[in-house]
Amino acid sequence: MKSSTKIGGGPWNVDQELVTRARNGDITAFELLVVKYQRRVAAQIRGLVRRADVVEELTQEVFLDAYDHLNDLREGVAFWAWISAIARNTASGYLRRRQHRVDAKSEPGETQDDPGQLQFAASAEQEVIAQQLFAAIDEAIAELPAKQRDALMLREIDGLNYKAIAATVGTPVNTVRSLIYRARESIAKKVRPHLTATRARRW
Amino acid sequence: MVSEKMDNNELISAVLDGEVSPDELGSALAKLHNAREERDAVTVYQLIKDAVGGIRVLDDGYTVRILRRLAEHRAAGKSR
Repeated sequence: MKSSTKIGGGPWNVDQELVTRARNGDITAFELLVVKYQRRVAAQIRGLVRRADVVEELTQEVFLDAYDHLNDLREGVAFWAWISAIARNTASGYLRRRQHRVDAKSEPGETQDDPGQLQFAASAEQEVIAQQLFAAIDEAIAELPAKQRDALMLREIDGLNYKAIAATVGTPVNTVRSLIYRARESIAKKVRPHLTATRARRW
Repeated sequence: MVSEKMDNNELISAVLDGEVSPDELGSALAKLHNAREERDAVTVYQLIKDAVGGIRVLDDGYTVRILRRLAEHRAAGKSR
């Protein structure tokens, strides 16, 4: 989790501030946390329970649980580390309940997972959109000017913050912010046509 | 108008990276309250962030269903 420099103060953390605002009733702040982390939470749960048919339900449970217990998040603990622990507990709870049911009933259908169902349960339409979309993202990244691509990769692959990227590529921090924004917007322009069908189903 | 949209989207991009000041975050959240264009930027930029980071999954209603369930949960005043 990266921290930024607070104006006139020490380091602060955007996620922590979003949590503070959510605690004070700003639901948009919590919604932003959901948008930021829902894929990572779902991916984590998918890896643990390995059943596509329960991933969404459990992911919802994780965020409801997090919302109810925002006051339990201690200062200095990264939101991702905290919600990731909730996800692990939620997945473990599901697996324990499932094992109990299997032990009690010996349900044949409950004992084995279909390897073909280990991904998200996607419709044929979703599969086509996804293939085109991620191909468009790869293509758009390849077409980026080198400076934009380098800044974006240093951010997303190497996990560097803007200050570290600025030091690495030898440009001011504000330029890094602009390079990364322009990279994302260039990619976004290429992928938006593939997302028209799902716009009504996004935040 | 174009410049304002560019400024807003640059701000959103920096918010998703955790690279804004408290005042900028407050400004971004105010803009995101029921603002369709800015929310679209958030979802598309986050999709790109996740995809570049290796998580390649569409959000076909996933977030909306989480938020709908959260709204129902809040309306019911449930505490789990």
